[in-house]
Amino acid sequence: MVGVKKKMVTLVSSDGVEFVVEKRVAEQSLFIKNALNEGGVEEKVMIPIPKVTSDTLSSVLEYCEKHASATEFQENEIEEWDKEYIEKADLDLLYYLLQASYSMSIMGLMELGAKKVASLIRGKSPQEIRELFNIKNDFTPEQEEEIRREMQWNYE
Amino acid sequence: MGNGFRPPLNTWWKPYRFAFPILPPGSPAAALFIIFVVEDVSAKIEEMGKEEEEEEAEIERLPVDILACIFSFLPSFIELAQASSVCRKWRRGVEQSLAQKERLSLSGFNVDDEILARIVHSAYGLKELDISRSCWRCKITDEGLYKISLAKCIGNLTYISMWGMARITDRGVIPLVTEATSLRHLNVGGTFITDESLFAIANSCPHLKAIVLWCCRHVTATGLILLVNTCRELESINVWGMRLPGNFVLELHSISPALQINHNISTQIPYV
Repeated sequence: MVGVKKKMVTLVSSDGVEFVVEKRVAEQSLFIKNALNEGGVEEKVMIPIPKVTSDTLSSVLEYCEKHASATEFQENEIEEWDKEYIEKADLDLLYYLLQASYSMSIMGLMELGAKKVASLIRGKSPQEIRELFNIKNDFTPEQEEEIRREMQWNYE
Repeated sequence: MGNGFRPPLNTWWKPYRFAFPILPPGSPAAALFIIFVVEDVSAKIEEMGKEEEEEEAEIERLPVDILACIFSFLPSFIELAQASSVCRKWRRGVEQSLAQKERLSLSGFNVDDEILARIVHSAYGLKELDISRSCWRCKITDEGLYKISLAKCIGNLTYISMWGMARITDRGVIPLVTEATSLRHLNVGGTFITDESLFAIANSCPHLKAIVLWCCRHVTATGLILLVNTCRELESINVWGMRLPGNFVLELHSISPALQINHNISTQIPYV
């Protein structure tokens, strides 16, 4: 790592991979920020990130790094970057990113992922949505009936 | 919506599966763990997560909170309705995101009284409601308006649009506006309300800033003058297409000089 003075922390993914990152990058996650503040710890901090695998974590950290230095960029630059970043995530990664940003409390990333999923849902029928996300229809016949009635709306 | 129904055997453990990503679906271990779930779900969730990872990513395992966050980015009501018909968990997610919604537009949907009432009743945080129609078969009646006048959010509504709802009259509008005391903007254009509704608005909505009465042919100058006299915060009024006397604009301006009046009253020959 460069810069001797930079405070570093080590994050450990659920599959045991260690990521050494600048503290200010890691603190994009409120979960980590709180953990660091609570402990009052200095160097050589190891923070386990449960439920987040190394693949996901490296992607999450890519986001955190960009946003930790957000002040260096124009606002629309960041927006463009966000767009590209989430565009290249496939469905699986998107799901992992959402889960990770939720458990690590990274609101910006969670919103970004949620918007992406919402854009995938838009304009699709319930059946198309089920097929896309591989979801089982678990409604009871009574609920099905209720839904059928609701969906009779005329939305010309 | 859940009514305690137990799903078929092969999916009965599924709701908990997102909490135990290390367990391969259908493994005997999964069956063992379910026993502990009953005792303490949250403590277990914390412990899990290390070791292996799940084989396939299923959006189905996302917690309801995340789903609700996703659904909050669905702008139109029909998309919310579609999402809520996908599965039970999504339905809960939609309900949760509905409760967080501040603006809701049902414009153009052929919603009936009962569905309207249910939606508005579950939208606790609602501030802006648009139920105006854009198709001619609008099913909402006075009954529906009465029902939503009983909803929790009604006192917080600042905006209501009901323009073009051909089946509503004073009978529904009066109870609604009587409860909607925070109202700033009201659009009742093209409805069959009379001065009675305007009296109710004047009595209950002191903060009214704008009202659209476009083509309300049963409203007369008497009702309007009372409204302008009482609602002193009123900034704009739309009386386009109403039957009003030629000197009417002057009369309103004499009460409230700054009032913006949108009208098509012919004033070429003002008789004063």
